[in-house]
Amino acid sequence: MRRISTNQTINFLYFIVIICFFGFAQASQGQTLKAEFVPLLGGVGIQADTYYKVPDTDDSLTIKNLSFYISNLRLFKNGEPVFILNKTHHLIQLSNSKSLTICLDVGEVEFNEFSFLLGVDSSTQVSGVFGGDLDPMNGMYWGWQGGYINFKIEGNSSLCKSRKARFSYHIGGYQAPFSSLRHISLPVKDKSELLIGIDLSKLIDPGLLSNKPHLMSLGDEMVEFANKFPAMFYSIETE
Amino acid sequence: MKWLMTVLLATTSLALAKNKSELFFKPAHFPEPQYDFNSNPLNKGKVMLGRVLFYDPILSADSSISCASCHSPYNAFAHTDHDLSHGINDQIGRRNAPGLFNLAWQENFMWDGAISHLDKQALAPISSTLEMGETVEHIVKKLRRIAAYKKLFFNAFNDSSITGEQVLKALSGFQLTLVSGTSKYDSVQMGMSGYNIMEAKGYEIFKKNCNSCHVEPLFTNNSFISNGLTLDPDLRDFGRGELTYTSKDSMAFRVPSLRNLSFTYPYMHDGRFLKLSEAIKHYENLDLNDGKGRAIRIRLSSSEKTELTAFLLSLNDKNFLFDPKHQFPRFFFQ
Repeated sequence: MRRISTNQTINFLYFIVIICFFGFAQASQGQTLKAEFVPLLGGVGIQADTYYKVPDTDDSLTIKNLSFYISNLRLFKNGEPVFILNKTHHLIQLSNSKSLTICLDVGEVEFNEFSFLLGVDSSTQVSGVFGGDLDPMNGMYWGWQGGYINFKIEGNSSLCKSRKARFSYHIGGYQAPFSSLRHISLPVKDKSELLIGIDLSKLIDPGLLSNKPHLMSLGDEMVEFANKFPAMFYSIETE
Repeated sequence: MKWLMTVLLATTSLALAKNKSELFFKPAHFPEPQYDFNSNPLNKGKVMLGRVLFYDPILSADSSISCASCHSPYNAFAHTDHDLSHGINDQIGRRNAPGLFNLAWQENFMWDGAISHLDKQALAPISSTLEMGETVEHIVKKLRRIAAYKKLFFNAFNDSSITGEQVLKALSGFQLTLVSGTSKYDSVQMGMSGYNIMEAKGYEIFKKNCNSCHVEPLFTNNSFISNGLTLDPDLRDFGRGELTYTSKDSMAFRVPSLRNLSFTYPYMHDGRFLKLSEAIKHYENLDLNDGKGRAIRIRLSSSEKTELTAFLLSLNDKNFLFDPKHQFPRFFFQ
């Protein structure tokens, strides 16, 4: 289902395998879990700046930027936590293929559920400024209201009546009633590799693109947008 | 008698200046600061870097506006005589630039409290299109091209990479050192001086009428209340209500500190009152709520107003205003 069209992508996958191998070799014992995020539109894996068809229409769409934070990664076995990573934030970006894969040194655990927070948790939001993935210079920050943007998607679509047919959804907010932080929980098979699909058509539909091409301020609309996050993620079962 | 006064004055200034060799000093009568210094430990290099950045217009899109443009040291880091802040391309902002001092005791920032941490505060004016119109990403790019900054960042962080986090932590580092605790009021609190009759009477009036919101010794309770100001039809600024969308917060603004009030005029969030007397007059014939559901009624005779003013003037802190450690870092820009 997923299109691997270029040599570059294959080289990159080799690179990931090598990276994970080294991670494995360094761990004194136990296993490395590789979780790869796969952004999809209508069942097709997507890349930045490429034309795709908006599902159920004849209109086109390109994605210039898809960036989001995930934090508080957890593994569960029958509802009991077996692996917890608090206060670790990953900035996942479509344009940075390296960021799409997270390698976790999980040790000897059995699990059947993978969960994380989509966004930056509220205690981190109010604890000052950080570097690395959380450095405000990554552009995932609202200056006027001191909060990280949890999820950002920008691009163009022939459905948008806006200037240059642009759309931009910057979803942030961490204080009630306008929090956009969402908990994502996925049943998974106990394997050393997880493929996590992100079905963007659950988020962006023709109606939204034509009626509301820009959403960048706190309010009920932003909360509704964030409510669609959990349905977007699913575990891709291979074999 | 005269020599006694001189000696007393000299010892007072000496005692007040004693602790000031430290980067950050907590006046004895102040509560513990809110700021977590462990998350951003101060050192000389960091405070120096923050000071240079504070005065450098490189932080704005066209290198015309620095933090100090609207926060001048000689105005207790406010913008005397300007009702609203100024930005790039001669733009006028929406709110009055407040004085900057005692920020280590403040939990959140801006007139509406929208910013939850001092380290993030600078991002607001930097990214505002009405103020500096810049991004921290681009500031970092610009700074990385300047050799002198490489050195300052190295001295501050023992790391020459120059990141957004470092820019912001240095800016807070400098601003944390802006402590105003050496006014006449403070020297009285420390038992090193005394009020004259007018000031003493004014202090009693203050305690009775103003102290529930402008709580000593910081002269604010860091809360947000509506103080009866009417909506400016042009600015249409609903204050904290724009943030929480609740009617309780509509037209609620931060209770500002009364320290250094001779230098921070015009007053209120939109600088609508040019004179202190206008601000005091505003509270007459007004029933206020102190935020805890208690009604406050301020009724003062004209002599009481004069006495209150005499006390309020004792909150001016000239030692803070003219502290050379806070001034324009000439050495860097020449």
